[in-house]
Amino acid sequence: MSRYHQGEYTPVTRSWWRRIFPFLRWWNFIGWDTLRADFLAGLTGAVLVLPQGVAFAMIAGLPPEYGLYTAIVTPIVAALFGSSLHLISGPTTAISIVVFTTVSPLAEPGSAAYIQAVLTLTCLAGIYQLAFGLARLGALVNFVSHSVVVGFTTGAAILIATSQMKHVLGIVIPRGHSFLNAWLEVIRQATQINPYVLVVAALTLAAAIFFRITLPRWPGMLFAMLIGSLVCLFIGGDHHGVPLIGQMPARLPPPSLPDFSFETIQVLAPKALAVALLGLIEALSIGRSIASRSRQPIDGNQEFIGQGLSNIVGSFFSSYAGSGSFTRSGMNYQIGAITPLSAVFSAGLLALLLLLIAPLTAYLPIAAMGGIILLVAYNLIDLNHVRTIVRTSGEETAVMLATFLATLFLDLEFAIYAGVLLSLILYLNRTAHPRIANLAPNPEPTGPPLIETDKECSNLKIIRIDGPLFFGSVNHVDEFLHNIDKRLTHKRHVLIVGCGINLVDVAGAEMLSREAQRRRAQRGSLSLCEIKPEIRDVLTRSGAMKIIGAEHVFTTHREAIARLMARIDTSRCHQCKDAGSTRCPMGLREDPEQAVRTDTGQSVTMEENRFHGSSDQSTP
Amino acid sequence: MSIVTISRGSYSRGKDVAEKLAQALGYECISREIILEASELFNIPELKLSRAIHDAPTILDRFTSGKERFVAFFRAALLTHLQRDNVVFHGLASHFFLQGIPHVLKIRISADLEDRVHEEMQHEGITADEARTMLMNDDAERRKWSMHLFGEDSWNPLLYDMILHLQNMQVDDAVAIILNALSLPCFQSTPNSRQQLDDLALAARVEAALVKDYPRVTADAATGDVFVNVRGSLVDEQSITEKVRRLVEKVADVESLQVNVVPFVVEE
Repeated sequence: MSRYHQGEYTPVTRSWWRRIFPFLRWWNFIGWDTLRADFLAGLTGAVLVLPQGVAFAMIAGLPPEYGLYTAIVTPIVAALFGSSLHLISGPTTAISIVVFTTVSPLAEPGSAAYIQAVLTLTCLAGIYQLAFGLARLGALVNFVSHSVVVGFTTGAAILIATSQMKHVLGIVIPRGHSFLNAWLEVIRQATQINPYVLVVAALTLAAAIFFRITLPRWPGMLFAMLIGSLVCLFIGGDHHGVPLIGQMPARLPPPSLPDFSFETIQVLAPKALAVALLGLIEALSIGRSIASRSRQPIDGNQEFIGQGLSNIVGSFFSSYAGSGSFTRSGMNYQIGAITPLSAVFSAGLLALLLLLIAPLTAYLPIAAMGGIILLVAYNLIDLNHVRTIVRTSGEETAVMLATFLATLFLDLEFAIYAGVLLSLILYLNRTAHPRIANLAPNPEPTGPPLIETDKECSNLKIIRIDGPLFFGSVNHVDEFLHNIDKRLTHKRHVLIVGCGINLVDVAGAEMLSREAQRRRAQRGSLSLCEIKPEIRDVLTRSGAMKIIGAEHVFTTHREAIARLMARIDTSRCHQCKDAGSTRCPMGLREDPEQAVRTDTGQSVTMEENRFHGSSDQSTP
Repeated sequence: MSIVTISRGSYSRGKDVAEKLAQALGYECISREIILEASELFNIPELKLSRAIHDAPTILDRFTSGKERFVAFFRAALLTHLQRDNVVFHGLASHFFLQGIPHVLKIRISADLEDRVHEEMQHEGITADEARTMLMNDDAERRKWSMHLFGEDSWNPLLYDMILHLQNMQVDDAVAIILNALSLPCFQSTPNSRQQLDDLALAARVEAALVKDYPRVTADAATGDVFVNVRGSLVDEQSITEKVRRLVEKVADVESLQVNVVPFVVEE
């Protein structure tokens, strides 16, 4: 709204046009200054993606120009229809290797049939992604844990490096070899390594590393490829068995038609789901990672739609499956891009570069690309995160390791599904085991009134359940409540502080009623305090409130402790280690001898005094 | 002690009302003089500024923010001039710049199109059709201009304290009504309302100092403390802040400066 606007304020309703064309949401932000910033970022992005596009196409088993086509078409659509302002989509290493492993058993990589199968896979993956977005399933990606992503990318990096060994060493590894067999083959053919190929690859890799370390803002990969090509020319590589990529056609992404035959769709549809999931996980996690720095809120569903549309449209313009690229997105943001127009500029400038430099690829050795891809694979391994996960949680480490090993030794698509499944198991396991804290009144005058402690009162146990009480967690909580005093014939009074419970279902309500009945039958009781109105509502509607008893449901813990301490059997205070003391070591009562003479009155007043306030009315 | 702004269409006799009102009050009557002041103050050709203030924006203006730049200069010059108080200002969108200032009486003068056509025919010596076309074009241009720059139609009655339609009344009657309104305490300047105008003028001067480098800059001022919002990437936050500070250094009366880099605006 303009600052000069004088009309009545009406709540802003999201226009239908902006919903259909999300770029209209930031369109008004564009100005000469943003155009300039976006153009500069786009220029850098175009130079950066040029070698990557060629390298990733090689990983995907496609002719090099297909990587560039993907870097032209996909980012434009994804940027205009996605949610992130800085995410740059296009070919990525992880997706490329999945595409290769998925389609290579069906057709000879690089062949026309292979290309068409890849395009069909891309279109199907896009349809899945679009459907997920339209069904507003964006939040589902949140359930894929970061450990899974790290494990998968680390495994993918090693697979990528393995796939390049034949190009870097100049040996022949037959197609379809597993990870282990590929390495056995490398060892077996160690004596047949072509030194010319190795020199070109090694020098290209060394140059790329040099630029990365000393001149990180330069397009190091591009220069490294140039150096590799010059080295190859200098040593006469083409006469010594150094294969060249060959001249790329200098043309813009040509229209293409995926194969929509029933048989092809039947074969590729399940595999496309894995590509779609990986693409979404990658794009959304990168988008969110950059958004955490740019402070931009990300709409997961819109991002799904953007990614889906980009792959669908891309498949009709010779582009294979793409997703968000961390390197290019990070660089885009760092250079100062402000709007998604930087992705559009990048694609436009890349198209221009493609027309200009395509003939030069005739001199580009595959070994040089192999060297570059080795560096790309290394960059994919996020050692910092691996270390953090290992340090932080054994559970997460196990998930990461399982995904990593599944990636290396099983089908890649299975590894993705396994990762997603593991994440869900991890999530379910966590929600099924809500944390239960043992509490006692804080003896200090400052700080929270209840603190976590190891001390136990033989009369009253105060616990706080931090999580939902639903069918999945009932067993765990029930078990805990049973174990509180399973060896005692006299059951203790248990007070559940319910401020951490956000959900109770029928199973949870029934469990509470059962526990209340059980304790009551054994001279104990179960009480609740500080429960949320909606939880109280569920307990009432399920009939659990009647069984627990309204007199056992309190508004505050102060009131609950005061009332419960008035009902306790003081003879059990002698079981307490500090029974000799007149003061209750738990701080529940001041004088155990006096406090329990009556059910009401004095003891309640003492408790109220301890908390410097009057007790609230008990819950009706 | 107050300020009167009169918004009017061409040949609606708003200028006559403004001049007679200023004479009756002993106030200064200004209009296009501000363009000259702004062009001198910010070193821009008067013609360029005049066109930017008058003509509807082109497609290119949408990206270059050329209009916003000139309007910022004009606004700064106008508000700085109005700080003197006792002024009658007519024309040139002043009502947009002075919203919320209590001692500014904002008036819109309107007249029947045929009366305006008649006036223009007499002044310019042209036919009725020519005059009608010119007036209609002129009105459309002004509305387009307001909509582009301020997102608001200049014919919106909420912009004004009073709208006078010169059909049955004469210029003198209109002046009498305005004089009566001005005698009301709500339109008298107070230290508080003058401070509001001072703040607005300071913010406008800061915006004018920055608008060349940051076209969509907005500034807010409160007794010397200035808060600036500029569009840019958070990556460049430090350099943008330093540059803004450098540019604002030259603006008088700025005691402190806070720079907020706005990385994006997403409209729902």
